[in-house]
Amino acid sequence: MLSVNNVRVHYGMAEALRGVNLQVAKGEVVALIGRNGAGKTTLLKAITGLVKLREGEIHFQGKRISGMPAHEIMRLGIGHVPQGRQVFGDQTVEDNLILGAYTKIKQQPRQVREWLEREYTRFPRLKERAKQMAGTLSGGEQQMLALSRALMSDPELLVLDEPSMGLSPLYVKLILDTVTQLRSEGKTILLVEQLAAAALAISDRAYVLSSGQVEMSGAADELLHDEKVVRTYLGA
Amino acid sequence: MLQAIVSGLILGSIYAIIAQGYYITFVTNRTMNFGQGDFLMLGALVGLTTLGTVTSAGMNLFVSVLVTMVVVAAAMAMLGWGLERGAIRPLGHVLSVGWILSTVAVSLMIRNIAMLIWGRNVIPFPSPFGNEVYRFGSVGITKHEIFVAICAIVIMACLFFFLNRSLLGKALAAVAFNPDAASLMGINPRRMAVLAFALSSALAGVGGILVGPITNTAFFMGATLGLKAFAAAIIGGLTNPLGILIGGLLLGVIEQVFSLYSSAYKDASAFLLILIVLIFMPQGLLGKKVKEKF
Amino acid sequence: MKKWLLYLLIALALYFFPWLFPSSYYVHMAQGFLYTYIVVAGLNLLVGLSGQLSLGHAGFYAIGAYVTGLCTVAGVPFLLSLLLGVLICAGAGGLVAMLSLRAKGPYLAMVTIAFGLLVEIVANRWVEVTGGPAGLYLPEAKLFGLGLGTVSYYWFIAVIALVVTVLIDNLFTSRYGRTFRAMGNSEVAAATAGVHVRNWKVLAFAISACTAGLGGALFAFQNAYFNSDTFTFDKSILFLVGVIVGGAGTRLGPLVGTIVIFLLPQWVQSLYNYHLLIFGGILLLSLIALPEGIVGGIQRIFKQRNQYSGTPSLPAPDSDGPSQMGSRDGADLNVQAAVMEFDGFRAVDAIDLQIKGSEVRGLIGPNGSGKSTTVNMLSGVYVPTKGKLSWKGVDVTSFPPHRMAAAGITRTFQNLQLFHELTVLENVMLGFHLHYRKGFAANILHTPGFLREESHFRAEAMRLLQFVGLAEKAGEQAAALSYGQQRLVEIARALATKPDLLILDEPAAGASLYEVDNIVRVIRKVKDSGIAILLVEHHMEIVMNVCDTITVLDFGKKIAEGDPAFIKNHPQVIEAYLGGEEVTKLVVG
Repeated sequence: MLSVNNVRVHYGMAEALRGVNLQVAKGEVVALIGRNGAGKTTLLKAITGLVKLREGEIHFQGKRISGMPAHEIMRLGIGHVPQGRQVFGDQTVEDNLILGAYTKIKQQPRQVREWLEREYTRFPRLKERAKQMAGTLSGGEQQMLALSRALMSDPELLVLDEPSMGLSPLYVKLILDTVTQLRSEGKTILLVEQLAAAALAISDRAYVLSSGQVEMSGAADELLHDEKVVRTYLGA
Repeated sequence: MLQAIVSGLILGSIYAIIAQGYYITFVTNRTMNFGQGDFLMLGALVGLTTLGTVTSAGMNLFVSVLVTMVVVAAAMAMLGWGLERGAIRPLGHVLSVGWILSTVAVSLMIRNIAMLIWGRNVIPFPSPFGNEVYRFGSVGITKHEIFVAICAIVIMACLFFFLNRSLLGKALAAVAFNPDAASLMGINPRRMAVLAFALSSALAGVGGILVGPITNTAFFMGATLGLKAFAAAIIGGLTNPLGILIGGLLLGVIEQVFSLYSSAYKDASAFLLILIVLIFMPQGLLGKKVKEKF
Repeated sequence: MKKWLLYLLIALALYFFPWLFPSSYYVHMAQGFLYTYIVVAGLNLLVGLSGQLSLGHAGFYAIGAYVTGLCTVAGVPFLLSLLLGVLICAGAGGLVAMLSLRAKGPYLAMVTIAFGLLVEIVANRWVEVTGGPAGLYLPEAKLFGLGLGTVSYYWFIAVIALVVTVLIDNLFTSRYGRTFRAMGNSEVAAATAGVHVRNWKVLAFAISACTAGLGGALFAFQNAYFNSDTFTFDKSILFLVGVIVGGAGTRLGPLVGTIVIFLLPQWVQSLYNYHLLIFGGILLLSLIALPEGIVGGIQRIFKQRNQYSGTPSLPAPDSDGPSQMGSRDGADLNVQAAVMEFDGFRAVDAIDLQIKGSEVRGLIGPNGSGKSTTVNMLSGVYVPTKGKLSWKGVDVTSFPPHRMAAAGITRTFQNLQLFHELTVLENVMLGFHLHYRKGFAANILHTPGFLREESHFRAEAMRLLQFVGLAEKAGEQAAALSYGQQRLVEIARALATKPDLLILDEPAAGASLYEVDNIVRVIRKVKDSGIAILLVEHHMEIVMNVCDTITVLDFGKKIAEGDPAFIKNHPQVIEAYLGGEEVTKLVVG
């Protein structure tokens, strides 16, 4: 479904990604782990069009998306939950969710209403706070909101950037459980996580990124027990 | 004194309308039209001409006023679109505030064109509603001022509903808050910037029609008025539309009260206010303080 | 030597001009050209070097004209009045700058517009003093009792214009020009190198106000009469057009710019009605198509790199390390319960930290743990919401970056903050900011003392560049280097401040593996020279191998502190990064 080929990204003069290759098949949960500064977020931004590629190509469902601006890529069926949630703090929870369906709401207003109810069922806490300003929600609630917001456009591929950041263990469990639930609903998921163990526990395959390159990849439970993974985090 | 306050409120509401234009573009795109005053001038002059043409064609008063407003709003909106494409977008990289100079450049060009079309002299702009004055105690209000007040309320209400209730308004706010996250929703930040400028220019144009009969029109009227509208925005806090409304009304009142004591320096009061606010309260009455992150 | 020859030639050309073009029309035009040029030259310093926009310079032009005019009318000798006018403009310029300190970008522009319009209104309305639109009649300009006729007045202006040119050019090529330019590139980096940015902004404004006032005064006496019609907003924009179209920040720009804004209208007098259109159009076109101006564009075509400090020569390889890295006081930092809150969110939640002597301290933690915020607090970029920072016994909690630098703490930046327009050498020379002794007079006059000082610090800077291994790149523009090399330039610049504590904010981020090696080598050398280091990094290999002690942050709190071996196996640290048992159990079940 998603194919990343030899992607290079530069930030000014720095090379953030040095030729990354990655595949995600339909229905999979793929994890992208690695320590900070390895380029995980940059890779996600490159995929969803927030960052320009210096070299390489990205294809989604057979269509070439590298070079397209973010707002066009999202219309093709990708939902991106950005790092740090990035909810629209000065608008209500419900408005945030409505905005999530921006690309679909004109053509399918009734459908969007259904999706809204679906998300409220998924996270009753959001329904409780539907008219509250998103900026006043706690970290965990904002993460639920960001996740639901991305789901409001009913995407085929869901991209999550560090959903656990700043969350207490219980919320982490909640979010990651939801990811597993989404997989059973047929969604394809690409997950960037710093908490490698938890990420590997819920994914099928994983890539380990280091200094802008893929160091290792393979089945998740194999990597979970691989000593080398621990070492890339805490050094020799 | 009471008269000054009432006139001030009316005038101030016009400042507020124009200033909302500054707010919309600043908050969406971090840029402003430094020639907003000249857009106002153009709106006034185009409005004057349109009104003259339309009424001499024999149309009913209210219809002709409405037609004029629509024509001006549409024309200015197109100009705003042109401004964004021509002066704002190509300058993202220059001096980081190159757009200040480019919008000033455009305003100079517009001013010259206006002078060529409408001449150098002050053109009286008789209100289409006539000069009748209603008296309430010691206070007199012209029909036009009532019209202005009604328009101001209607426009503010429409703006409020548009910005807060409509999907497009929410999209604009989203781009203002976080352009990257907004594009992840499928919102095109560039298109929103254009919309913001079109809207801002339309507001300036309508403001011009409203203010024309009060201050009379000339090709050079724009600079001072644009700055006064900016003063209104700064006083209230550039990032808060309610603050801008209050700022505008406050400025109008202060100006009119000031003119009771010294009419020669009436205009100076607005500029003094800008300086004072920027020294002591740079974020305005209701604005937010922003900390830069490294 | 070449420069003096050029100046002599220009002086001669200026002198002979009235002989070649004896008509009073041409001499008048030359007068006008020259005093307009003076204004544009000063504005170029403000806009082009220090990057501050002024849309109200006609205000200073007016103040110069009125003060000089009125003083002379009151009987004060012409030269003295001129001096008074210029001084008062300097004060006004400083005032406007101070008023707009809180105002950046568009706000600053609006303040200057407001100022300019305010002056215009006062000029027009305060008729008792200024004469308003009816104008002021002035006595003839007299120099030591001798009246200045048209040609003599022209020579007078020519002398002043030449002197102003020499002085401004001197400033451009002095450390003052360097500092203005650095401020225009990155205020925060300049501040951490010890530059008191506010004062320097005020200085830039004051200088440009002086020249504007000078121009205005000379204009006033040209016809012994002037009125308030001249001092419009359009005039301010005209001056700006001159700066931008000529080439902001270039040395020849003002000359070319003045030709455009002064001579052009003379030649197209018939198009007077289209003036605004033409100038607006020129400005717009220039901004879109040729933002660096005519001179800048030509320079780009010839790929001339503006060498403001001349070609550096490598010093003899006598020293192992830069001369100033000898005996050090040693660090003595005590952070007590420091808190940093943003809108209710605690980025740093009561951390204690002590760094002493010449230790190398690592600061690590997952994303969002508060490392960058801590660095910003320690370098003075943020003021802690609560808590206390003591340095060598002094309370430095609310010190801004330049005072921290003066006290001995400096830093590099995670998102590089190089002075990209300056050369590598100039970047480092700026780091010596606090150690320069020669002041404004020496710099503007290029005294032998100034030349000696420049030479001394040039050599010192070269030694620092040798230390980080970049000596061959000294003359290149900083922006042209590779990323890893740029990081080293930042380190060299920081070392130039002669710190006791050097904070490195992710120095290896984004560098290639080869460049990382280089950077680590340099960090070790700095460590060996005895400077204390606070190293924020994600590259664990670097941290574990270079640091004596490591402090670990998570969620804004300190969760562990100890030597590398201790930290590596610390369960809480592992958990913070990888996710510990609790989370894994919860997730896996």
